[in-house]
Amino acid sequence: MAVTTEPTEGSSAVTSRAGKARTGADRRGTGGEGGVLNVFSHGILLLWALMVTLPLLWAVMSAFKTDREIFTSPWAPPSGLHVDAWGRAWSQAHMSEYFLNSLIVVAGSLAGTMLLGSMAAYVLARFDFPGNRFIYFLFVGGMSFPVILALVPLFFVMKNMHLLNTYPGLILVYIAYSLPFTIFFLSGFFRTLPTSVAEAAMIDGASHTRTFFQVMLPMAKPGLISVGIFNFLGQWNQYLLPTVLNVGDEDKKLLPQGLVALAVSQGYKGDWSGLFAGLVMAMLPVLAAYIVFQRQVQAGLTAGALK
Amino acid sequence: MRGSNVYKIVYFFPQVLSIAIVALLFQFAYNPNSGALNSFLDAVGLDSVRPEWLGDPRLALWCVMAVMVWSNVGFYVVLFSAGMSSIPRDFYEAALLDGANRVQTFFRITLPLLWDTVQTGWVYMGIMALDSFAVVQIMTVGPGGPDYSTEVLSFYLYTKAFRDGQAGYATTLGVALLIVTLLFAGVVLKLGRRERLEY
Repeated sequence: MAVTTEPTEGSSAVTSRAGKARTGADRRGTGGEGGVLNVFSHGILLLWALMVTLPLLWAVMSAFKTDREIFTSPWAPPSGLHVDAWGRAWSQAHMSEYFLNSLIVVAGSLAGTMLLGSMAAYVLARFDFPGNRFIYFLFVGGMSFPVILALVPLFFVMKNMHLLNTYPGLILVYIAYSLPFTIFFLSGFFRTLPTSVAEAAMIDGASHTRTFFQVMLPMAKPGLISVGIFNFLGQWNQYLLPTVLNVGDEDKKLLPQGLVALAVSQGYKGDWSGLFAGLVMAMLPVLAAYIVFQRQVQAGLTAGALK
Repeated sequence: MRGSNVYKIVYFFPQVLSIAIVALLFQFAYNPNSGALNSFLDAVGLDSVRPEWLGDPRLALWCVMAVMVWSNVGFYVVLFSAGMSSIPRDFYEAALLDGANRVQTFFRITLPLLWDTVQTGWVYMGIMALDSFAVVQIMTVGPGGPDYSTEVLSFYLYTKAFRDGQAGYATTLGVALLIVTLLFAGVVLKLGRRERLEY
């Protein structure tokens, strides 16, 4: 980690030094050394960028190859665009069902998380009542709690409530799992919004419900978008929870689970191209969404750590 | 710096992918016969090396670590650079005028002002490392690695609870894991405590 962060910093210092050299403040003629180091740090940055992208590109490339090509020449480009693997993965290997299952669960849990989270955060941020801080810290404490600890008790709670291997059960767990961060993030956001607008709405005769939904929520839109994207990624990519709580039928699996099942079954069949097609299929929509929303994603994912 | 935004976007790619995708991808890259790594070694003329990667008890855990480093570097790049961007530029300019070189500015200005973020980073990393369940379960042979070489505590907990049916024992392991995590966080925060710098 130090290797990659230091050059970032070093190079930003270089730019400011280069700026100095241009204004003539750099009298000692260290431009040469700076240039060499600059090339060096750029080299390391570029190297890691390659290390990150090459495995991904390799997967995309393999998805268009035949099985024989994958085995004999893993690094050679495909001899032609073999798209039949994509069809196989989509229909025969249940990828379409996995996508749909994930979509159902994440749609339900995301809607629930955002609704409950924003309501709780609004009350905790804007109203003073005994126990307010206690409830807030109870929620925030949940953020530092690794899921794996609660896994076994959670399993038995779900079992006793007959929610094991059902989507409503999974949705409820996802909501509970996402609420702490959502409330933490949004209550900070609601606190920064001006009080005068809400007061004006109250004076005009709006009820609390109306004030919240028609005045406060639209004002909190940037925060809602950030935390919404963050929750979407976390829930869409969740692997541990469904692995434990959703072990029913093969075709009820969620996408990450389904991919692992696919890897096992296609491994037996030797259908590697189908497997790579499945992987890329699962990878590309998320990467595309990330590139579009990258500012919000990075802000959301690092906000919890910076506070 | 020119292009720094592009680097940040690219480094962050693995963070937005499901850990299942990452682990599966590397399972194939590590494949000793037709994986990307060994065929790359062949291509550069090192075909006598050809390690077994995940099949070798001495290497398997390192392979798991490499995957976790690969997928998490981006998070820390973004985290630290967000922290660094809040350090005023004047400090660097003042230091450069006083003749400090880049190593000095990094250790004397950047690191002390970034210390809080570095500590949070450590705690995050500790929690993340103790929870390497998914990579081990999906990627390693067995799963659990050859000769139990990649069996981490979280994976052991999972097998005890859901394969062997020892729920009580698994819960105890979970509590032990929590204590270890809290101890780690406490030690990091205690040892790393420094004077708080306001700027």
